[in-house]
Amino acid sequence: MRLAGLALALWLPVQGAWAAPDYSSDGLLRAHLWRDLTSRSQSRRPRVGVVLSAGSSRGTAHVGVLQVLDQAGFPIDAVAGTSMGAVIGSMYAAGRPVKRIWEIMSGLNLSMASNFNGLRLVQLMLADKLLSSEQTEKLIRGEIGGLRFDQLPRAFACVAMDIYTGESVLFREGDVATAVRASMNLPGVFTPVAYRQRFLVDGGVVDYIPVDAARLLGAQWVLASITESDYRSTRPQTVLEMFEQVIDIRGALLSQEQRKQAQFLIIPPVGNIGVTETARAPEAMAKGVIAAYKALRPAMESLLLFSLEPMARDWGPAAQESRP
Amino acid sequence: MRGASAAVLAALLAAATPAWGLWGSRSETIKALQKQFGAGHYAAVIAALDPDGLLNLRGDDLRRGYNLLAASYELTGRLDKSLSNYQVAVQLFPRDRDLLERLALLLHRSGLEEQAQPIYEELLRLYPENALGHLGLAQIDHALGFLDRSADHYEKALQGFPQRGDLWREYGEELAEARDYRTAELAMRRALALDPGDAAAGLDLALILRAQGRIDEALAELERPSRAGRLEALRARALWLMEEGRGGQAEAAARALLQAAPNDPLGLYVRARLELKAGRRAQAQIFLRQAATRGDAAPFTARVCAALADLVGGRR
Repeated sequence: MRLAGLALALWLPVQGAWAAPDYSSDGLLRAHLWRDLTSRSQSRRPRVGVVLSAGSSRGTAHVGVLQVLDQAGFPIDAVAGTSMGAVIGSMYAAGRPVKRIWEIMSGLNLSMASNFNGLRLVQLMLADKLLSSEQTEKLIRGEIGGLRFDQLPRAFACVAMDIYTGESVLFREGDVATAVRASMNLPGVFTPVAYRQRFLVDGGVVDYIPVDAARLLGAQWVLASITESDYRSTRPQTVLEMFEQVIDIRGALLSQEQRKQAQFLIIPPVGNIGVTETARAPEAMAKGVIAAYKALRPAMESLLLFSLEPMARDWGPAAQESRP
Repeated sequence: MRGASAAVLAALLAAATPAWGLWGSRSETIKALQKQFGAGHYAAVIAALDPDGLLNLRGDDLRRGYNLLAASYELTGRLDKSLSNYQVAVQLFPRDRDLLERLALLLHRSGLEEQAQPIYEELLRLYPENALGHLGLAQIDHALGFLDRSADHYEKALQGFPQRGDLWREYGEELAEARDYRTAELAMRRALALDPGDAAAGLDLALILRAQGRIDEALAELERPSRAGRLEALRARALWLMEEGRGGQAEAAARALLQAAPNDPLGLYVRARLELKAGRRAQAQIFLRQAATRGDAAPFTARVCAALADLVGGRR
């Protein structure tokens, strides 16, 4: 039986194959135009932006999305993020390898982002003593040091909200770690971050998918990675989950318009992962990889079609033939 | 299961009849059934075992009985019955390597990758060096986009199947996708050394050389399939020559392609780009418009050509 089993294994083709090399007209043309696009300097192609939505533990799926984009050689010029999207986006924009970000997020737990513990939870509930999100700042500073926005190798922006005015506050300058902490600062749980006479909380309330922030960074073609909650099927049980549910609902309503403004959307199916389910981060990241890999060819084609005009300028008689 | 594959499987299992001896069979009932199976009398095996025959078997005989029954269902194309028997058998004999391998393969071949994956993982937990388990996970990881993990599994699988040219090609394709072109080239050359007639590996090697910018070597790899009239090679040749700015050669290659496949969208695109380069916009537009009608054959090429035709015509 052993030999027969082996014979089976060796002879029968496996169905549902991977993305085998594509020698069709489409496959060859895609590869040809991709070589052309990715060999160009930033000034001779559209500026590419990646937007990472809010989403707490669900947002770790962005790491998987970035891994696939990175692997395929997407020429990412700008990154904008809110809340968890800001945490991951800041490290990516600072040039931290995706592998390292994956490693960090694999060990995600509540105390990585806050001074959360049993005693503090009791204090929060009985004495309205808010928690501190200082750990988030420490985490970012530990990874990227004291970098300011203008020192990042890739343009980056993140969003928070002023709890007193309801205004969206876009960070594009100053200290990155402070800004990221403000962006991921759940209202009602964490003390607002005091910054330049403002008191800042999580940006997910006002700008869940900050496509507008990427535009301000000059992005012309924008890919948004979205990790919204399936809030209609979620029944929050704890104070924290209640707050997150409110942000999710508000965010989902706001995001309808923002979705339309992006050129391409990747939506990993992580809607059933709750805010406190940090142990499910590896699952979310894996789902990010799978969703992005499935969307890879369409995403490349979208960017190539968008880039056709600037590329074609070099294809005429006066221009030097591009040599990828 | 495809007809040809079923025939191959039947022939292989029949040819492998002596292997049943490896089971160390003790029961006369099982010996008789193995003989019937070896002779290709699968319906008789099923009739003898499902369901009452299995009730009379114990221990190893029961395990062999399930194996025979599931394999017979598999070979007669009743995959659902085969699957359910393998699943029951794996519950009863959770450490049986053959059963785990067969169940994982059946699930995998049926496109049920999510269900096959934990079975392969269990197989590797019990038998960490199992080449089939590594191959299964390599293919699943590749299909899902986990390229690093896939490469690790391919490497272990190839230790078990070092002479399988097709697996070296798969591995090379996976590495090329991960843009590890140098290692991909080594794997592809190994695939071709083991199976010099593997046309797909030849084309893969050309793509890998092209990706490294080694254009002349890539074109040389395309020569034989081009002469054989393989459209993939003709397309790649025309396109790459144009990319390199070798206008005359590119035009000849595009004409050869269009002669072999009139209205080939990529051939038309190459001709259009060459006309554009020469400043003949009207002629370029004709080729582009023609290619734009081939959305059925090449939707992306058709869209690119339509958009480019508009740009050339000043509509955008």
